[in-house]
Amino acid sequence: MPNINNDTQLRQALKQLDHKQLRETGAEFVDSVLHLCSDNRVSHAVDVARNSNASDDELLAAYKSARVATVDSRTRCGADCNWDEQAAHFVARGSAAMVAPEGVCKAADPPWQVVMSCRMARNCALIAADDDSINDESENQYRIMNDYLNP
Amino acid sequence: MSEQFKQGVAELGKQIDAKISSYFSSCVHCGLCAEACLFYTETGDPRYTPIYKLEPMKKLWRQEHTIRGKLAKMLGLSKPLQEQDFADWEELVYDSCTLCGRCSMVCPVGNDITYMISKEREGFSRAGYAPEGLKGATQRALEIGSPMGVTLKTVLATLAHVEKNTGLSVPVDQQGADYMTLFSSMEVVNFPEYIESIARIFEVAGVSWTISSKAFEATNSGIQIGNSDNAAEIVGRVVTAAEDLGVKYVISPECGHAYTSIRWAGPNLIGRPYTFKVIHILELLEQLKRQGRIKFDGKTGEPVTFHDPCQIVRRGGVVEPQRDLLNGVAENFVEMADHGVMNWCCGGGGGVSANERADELRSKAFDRKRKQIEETGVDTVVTACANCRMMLEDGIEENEMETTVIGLTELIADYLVTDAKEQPEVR
Repeated sequence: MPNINNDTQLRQALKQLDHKQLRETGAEFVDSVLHLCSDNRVSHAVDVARNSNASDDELLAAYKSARVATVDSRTRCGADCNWDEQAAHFVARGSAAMVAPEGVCKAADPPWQVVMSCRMARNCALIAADDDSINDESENQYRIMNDYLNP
Repeated sequence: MSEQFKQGVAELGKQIDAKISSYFSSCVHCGLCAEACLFYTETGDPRYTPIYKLEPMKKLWRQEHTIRGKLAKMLGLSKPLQEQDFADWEELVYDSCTLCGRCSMVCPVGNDITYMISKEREGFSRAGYAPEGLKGATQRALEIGSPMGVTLKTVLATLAHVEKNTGLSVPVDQQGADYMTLFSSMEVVNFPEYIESIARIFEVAGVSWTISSKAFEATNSGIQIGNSDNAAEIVGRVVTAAEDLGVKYVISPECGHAYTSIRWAGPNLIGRPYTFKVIHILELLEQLKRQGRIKFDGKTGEPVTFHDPCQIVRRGGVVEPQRDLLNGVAENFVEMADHGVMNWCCGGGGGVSANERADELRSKAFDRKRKQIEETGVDTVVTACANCRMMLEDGIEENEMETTVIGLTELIADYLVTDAKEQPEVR
């Protein structure tokens, strides 16, 4: 497989994967930012996504838990935003899209929602740390995808 | 009696204008407003009857503006307002009213009860009887420029994320652009995909637009808490920024009260007309569609319904553009019962969502929306307000419903025909 080093190539590569492969790559994307979220429901979702023997019921249960974690962790309207907590929210959102059984997540493009949520999580963490460096999560994702496609 | 309370009562007195006097004197005590209020219909508690929420103001009006009330006060038969009155009514004025305007729609004598509650909040907030969440949000809006503490640096970080993901440039402080776009902090914090969506849509449509580094925030906590001075300060920042940039239009984002604040209340708050026009993002998208500047490729096959944000539809007057847009991207658009100007609120408007104390009541009030959604038999709800979206998602999770909520602008962007098109077919 040719090297992936931009979003167009990443999208194309994701489109070539079946649902099980999307879960596996999604789990790697989420795992890369998992340290930003301490919610057990989210780490459990990653474990389930990695389990190639997970049943549809297990996937659905993990998806529902991750979705609740997503709603629980976001900043309410008018509240003073805690960017660390908001980073955790985006990790949870990415994990829900990652583990959802096929056709359950209604995002236009669930695999891409995983990608974007992980990048937003990293962005929030940089904001929280008042760190002006560039968010390089996309480069990290290209590397993850390259490693996956070229083991 | 504290000095602050005295100031609050004085402020409440100042708010009793000719309209409010005529409203109180023409109320026929029919109780129809109760049946229009979801806090009453979902709890059955008569304290949540909208006109009853105005008792402190009504007491003051009677004592100051009616002969019988003046006489009673003079003879000591009627007590002046006490701090306890404000303490007792604070929950009714803030927690159980989303300023949704449904009560005003059904009043048989035309009383704008929502207007009256907004005015009553002016007195309460001056007296210090307002929810802590709203006080904090207003203070941050004044000091930082955002009720959620979003700084320019944060916005620029989010824009950098959007630029990287879209490959597009998001213009900031572009002198002479046609449109200046506002965002709600909620979009910056929770829904950056909205920002990405408009960047993509405007690129395709060739819209000349910019964001101002001096005023990016669309929301107005001053309106919600009921403090006209603060509300005017917040509107004034947007007006100054728009006039400095020389834009022709200011775009209000997918946020309900932001639209009524900047579009309808704004000129009265600052005491002069704007030199630019205000347009809601849905109105602009519908215009772009009508002009053929944006086109859609395919439609979602998923049945969808639409939740009308009260401040955009009932109070704001934007009713049809969203339906036209939705029909353009959805094969099976199912209207809710009572849709359009009589739709039921999500339960979190008017500052209720920023008020943690109101969570339990809000949750009960959501039952109306739950029933509305379930009646449609549809699993996807589209809306056009970040706050409604959060409230819907909260209620859906709490009620364990199998429903997804999506923003209309994002849905439009998903089906947009672009030059380098990778758009989906019917899904």
